Amino acid sequence: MVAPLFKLGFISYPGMIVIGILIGFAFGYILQSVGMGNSRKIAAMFYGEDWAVMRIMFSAVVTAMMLTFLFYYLGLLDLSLVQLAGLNLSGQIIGGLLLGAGMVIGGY
Amino acid sequence: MIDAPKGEKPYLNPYIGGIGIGTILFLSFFLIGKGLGGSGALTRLLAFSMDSVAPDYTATIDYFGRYLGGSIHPLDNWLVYMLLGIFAGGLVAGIRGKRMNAIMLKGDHTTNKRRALTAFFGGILVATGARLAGGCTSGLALTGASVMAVAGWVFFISVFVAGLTVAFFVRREWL
Repeated sequence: MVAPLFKLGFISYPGMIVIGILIGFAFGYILQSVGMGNSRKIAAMFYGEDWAVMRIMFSAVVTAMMLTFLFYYLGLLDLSLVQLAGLNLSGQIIGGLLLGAGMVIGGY
Repeated sequence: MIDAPKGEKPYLNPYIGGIGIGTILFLSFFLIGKGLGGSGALTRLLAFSMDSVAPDYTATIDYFGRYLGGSIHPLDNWLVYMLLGIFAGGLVAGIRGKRMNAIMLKGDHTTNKRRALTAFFGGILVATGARLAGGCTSGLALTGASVMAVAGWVFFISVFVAGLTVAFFVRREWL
């Protein structure tokens, strides 16, 4: 296992800060470029008028999933060290319902 | 389909954007061991702001207190650095795409006042939902779904169930 590099000590703390800013930059740049700054485009998803949100979401999930599990099966990435939100069933159902309602009302 | 407002550059192909975001998410797992997120940094920013103004009161609230008082500054965090990057990246993309005009994005049959109100109350619901669930669309749905975390998919499905249902009642605001 060599990764996650930061957790296993191959990347320093200042390195983590730089990577955080760079990853955020790329994330923000792409989100803005594909039109996720447009509330009409996001809301239109819930009326079947615009599929951009779904296309972005699922192509991102599938891409990340393939790369992550490829590196996991190659024995390079220790998934148990990847920090994820734990299961909190009632919180995630109620929170998801509120967020979904807010998303179509507010558009973001 | 909703195109970019007049005068702006057309939007990037969603599949290309999605593959880009998926690659970034994988890099985030591989390099750091954490996923992407948007809402966590805002909670930390709020905890820090409240602590600056009313430290005694803020310390009594568990929800904010856990970010404060330790040896690590509440803003010294992966999600906060990422949020700085997101802001800068969005700004650069906005400038390059000629998207820097102040416009009110709304449906054709609603007023600016109504749109401002829906944005405000929708925002309250989104923020409350994200904090109850422990993450937002990026932190929980995208990051969680990519590693088949049950939490991510439960959240993802709940968002769509509510979104598709409530859409019926706010149709006039958008279409």
